Amino acid sequence: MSTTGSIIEPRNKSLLQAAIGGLAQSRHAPAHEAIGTQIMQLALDFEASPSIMDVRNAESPMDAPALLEMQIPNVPPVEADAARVTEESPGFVIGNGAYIDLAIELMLTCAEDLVMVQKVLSRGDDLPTRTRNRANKIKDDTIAWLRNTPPDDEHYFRFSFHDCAEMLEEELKLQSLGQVAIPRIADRADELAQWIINDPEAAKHYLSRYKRIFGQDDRHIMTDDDELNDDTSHTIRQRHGA
Amino acid sequence: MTAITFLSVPTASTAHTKPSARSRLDLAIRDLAGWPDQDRNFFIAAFTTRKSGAQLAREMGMTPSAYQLRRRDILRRFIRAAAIQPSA
Repeated sequence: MSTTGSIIEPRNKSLLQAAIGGLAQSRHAPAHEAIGTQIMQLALDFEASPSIMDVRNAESPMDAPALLEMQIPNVPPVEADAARVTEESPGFVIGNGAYIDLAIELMLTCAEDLVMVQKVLSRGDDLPTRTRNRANKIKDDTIAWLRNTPPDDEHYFRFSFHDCAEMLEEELKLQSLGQVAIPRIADRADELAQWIINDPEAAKHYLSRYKRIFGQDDRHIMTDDDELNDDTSHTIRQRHGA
Repeated sequence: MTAITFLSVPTASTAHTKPSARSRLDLAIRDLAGWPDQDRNFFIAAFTTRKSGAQLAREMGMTPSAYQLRRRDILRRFIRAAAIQPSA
């Protein structure tokens, strides 16, 4: 299923054609692959939408008039919503752009961790047992969050992956300016999680593109070189406080 | 360190309304109270402000690469806590 975007003339047709080719190949693909393809297509749709990109790229005061002409959804303050639930002040203020940034970055972190673990474990017999155990722990923790499966009944979830998927869908709708159709993401969070687990390289690639489009600061993006330099004992040692 | 704005928000009685995803995230971040102050402050500074990574790194006295690694590590910690957080 296409996520539409047909009203937009794509900037990068080669990428779009590649994605369309992927759609054709995945006609009989499992559900998690189908949503993976939709996520890929959606990134292309956003990138191909000139007005959205103009808004995203408008950083200088000279671009302010263009911003004023855009119909940006009016988002009610979230603090009051939280207060209704908790009857307490949340104690901080999150800017609208930070929500989509964080939703994407949480998913991207999962994909990057799974890629990193794959690289570490692929070293086979040369890998010290301690490092192997830590890599497996990272993988297990990441998959536990993606699948929302607590280790036992005494634990519960804070901000679950389902919450994250729902937030991503809501924020993408806000960001779309009505020009890009957003697929159901929250309802298909399990499929999205399975896509990240099964194909973390692809998930990392496309979620990085979302990060470039919607991130508040694309300098946060780590390159593959960064990842390689960060993929072994340093990160594992940091994560476990050793 | 980045200044954090604290708001006084009036309370309401619609406690049975299902919170939005944004609200659930707000609640999760507020629950970082059990984290060490420096980790909690870093999370809030890095993910709730509109400052650039370079600006935040400068304010925190970190190199950009060190800031990036720290940011990544804090995200992983958030995920791990969300997955296996003991009940409060």
